[in-house]
Amino acid sequence: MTISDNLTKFHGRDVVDFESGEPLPDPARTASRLTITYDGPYNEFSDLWADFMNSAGVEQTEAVIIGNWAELDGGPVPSEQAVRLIVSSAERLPKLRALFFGDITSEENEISWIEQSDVSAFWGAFPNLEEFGIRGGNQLQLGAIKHAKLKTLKVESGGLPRAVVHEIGAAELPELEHLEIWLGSDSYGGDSRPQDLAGMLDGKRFPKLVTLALRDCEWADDLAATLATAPILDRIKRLDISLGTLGDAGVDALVASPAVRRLQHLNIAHHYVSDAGVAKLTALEIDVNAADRKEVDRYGDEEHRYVAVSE
Amino acid sequence: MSPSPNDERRTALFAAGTPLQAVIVGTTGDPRMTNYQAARARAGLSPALLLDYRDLIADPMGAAARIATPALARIESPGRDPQVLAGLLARGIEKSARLNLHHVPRAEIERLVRERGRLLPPRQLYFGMESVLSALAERAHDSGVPGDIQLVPDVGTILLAFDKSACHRHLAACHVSVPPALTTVDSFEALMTAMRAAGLHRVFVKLQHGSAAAGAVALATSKFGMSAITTVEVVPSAAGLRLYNTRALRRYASRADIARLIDALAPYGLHVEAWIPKASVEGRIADLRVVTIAGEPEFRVLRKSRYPITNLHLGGERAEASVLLSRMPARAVTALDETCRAVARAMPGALQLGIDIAVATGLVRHYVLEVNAFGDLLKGVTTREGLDTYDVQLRAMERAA
Repeated sequence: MTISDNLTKFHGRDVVDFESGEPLPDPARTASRLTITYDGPYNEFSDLWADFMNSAGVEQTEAVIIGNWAELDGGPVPSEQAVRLIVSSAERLPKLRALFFGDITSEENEISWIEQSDVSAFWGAFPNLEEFGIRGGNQLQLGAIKHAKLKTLKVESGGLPRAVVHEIGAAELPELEHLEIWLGSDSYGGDSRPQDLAGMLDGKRFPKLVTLALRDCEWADDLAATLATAPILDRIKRLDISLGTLGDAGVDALVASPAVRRLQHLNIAHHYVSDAGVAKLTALEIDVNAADRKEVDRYGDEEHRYVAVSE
Repeated sequence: MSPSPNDERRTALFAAGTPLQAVIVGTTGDPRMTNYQAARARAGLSPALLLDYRDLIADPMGAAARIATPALARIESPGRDPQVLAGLLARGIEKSARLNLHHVPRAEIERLVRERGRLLPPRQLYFGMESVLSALAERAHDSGVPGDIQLVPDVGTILLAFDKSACHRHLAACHVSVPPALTTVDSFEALMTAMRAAGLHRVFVKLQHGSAAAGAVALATSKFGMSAITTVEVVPSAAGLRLYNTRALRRYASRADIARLIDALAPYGLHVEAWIPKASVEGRIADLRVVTIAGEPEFRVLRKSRYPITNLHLGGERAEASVLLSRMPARAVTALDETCRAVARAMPGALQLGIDIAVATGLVRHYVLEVNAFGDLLKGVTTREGLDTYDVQLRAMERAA
């Protein structure tokens, strides 16, 4: 699987592409997407951003989605300049509550080829942010994450560098309710291991966390075993380990965990669990999503399981 | 051969004074034949006389001579019948050999067409089609009064539509929006050089005479590596690499594998275009098949897929075109319809055309990806009045008569 759709809803709003010269849509009901399209009206993100900033009523904007920040034919361009532009306009966006950075489909660029950069300046620039999402793990740095209002943090990648996992594990996000990370494949830079999750799972952070989503994990059985005894599990209501490689061993670890039995919802969609394994989960009195079972690839003695999103 | 670029041809196509003998050139048992004859029956018309490709292949001139005048002969796709395909491949040897182009010798054809999924050399098939259809064109030309035997579509249009490079050039010359194309790519190295020179990082490599996405490769390059999503499976054998069409799309990620793939396809003749990033709907990548009839876009179908190659037999799903069109600005939808009309004007020898169109991300720009001369087989798709593509064609001809 690859990313085959743009966001159509974001922060509870319909997504509307920004068009120069058109009045900005109702900020309470819509999110504006700014993206360089194929053969479209803009070649430079700076021109697109300038037109957006010069639109009447832009200061009322509450939700923004950034798609491509560079021409599609030009090959990958790091996100650095786009980040700098957006941050430098922060005072023109005092009401910004939601930002998604990198709404790029596989038709435009592979998720593993998106070139991010240090985006840590967003935290200080937008103090009213409640939701932040980003796609692409290459060169991504979240820095020292400290934010008083952020409720939702999503980091999507085909392979998330270990250093970023550590940054998230050290984050100071007292209001965080939804944490979603796509760990991805080692072949695409996802070099984290269970021990790298310690900061996220030890229960010392994220006092208001409701949903923990550690998706697209290549070592999902080990992840399940780690989660089964993780202090954070006592706090959350929803656990999402979908898009990964979960098998029967991981299921056994989950069903043995008292904390798992107290969840409201468990999502393992895209998994390698047997019928018997799925039955063990559905026997728990929690809501389980076990859709999209995959078959193990076998080459001789070798077994291969794949995450849903990598390249 | 190029289609007659004027409206006289179209007038001749429909201006039938005396009762015409209705002929259909096709392969017995093919659903296109059945569907067309069924539509004739619904319209209260007698069945069209069948001229089977098998007869046309066995004796092109003799079979063509069986068309009595005045006649209107609808030319259909030869379909997938192995015997017909073998016959066309055999008819394609002579020209392939004369032009010193890669082809399969007679002795190997039978085994090739019987082997499940084997990629058949499309240019050789094309030359075979050209050879047998030329007999029809000649018969039409020699039948006496011009237009006494009308071929629909005419042979020039069929051949143009089946040559992606020629069709691309023709449409571009007619100011139809098509993706930028790369010329003279005959190897992986040549492809890399051409992509660099054009500043293209993402291309669609197609077989110049291929159909139904056979041999198509969606190739993306970046400093991080390469990716090729393809309908082709490369299987090494003692006699070299064998190519198969696969219904489960393959992905190759190493430069060596991709080079091997492109170099294996190159002898068949390549057509390379920029990969237009297609808009998405409902979580899927989508493109449009528009069927024009008598110049007007009459049917629009959306094809959705997880992958850049959206053909229905490759896992694509059909959906209502309105799902995409309703998200586009009104002016962009109008422009898309105008493009379909422009394609029909550029190929006036056809009554119907199946036009594949990509709407790019941003939902404004669109590009014609393919034109199918036999693109009207849309299973289960009807107008609001319950008419299928064949019904609408018969009505269009009735109106014009």
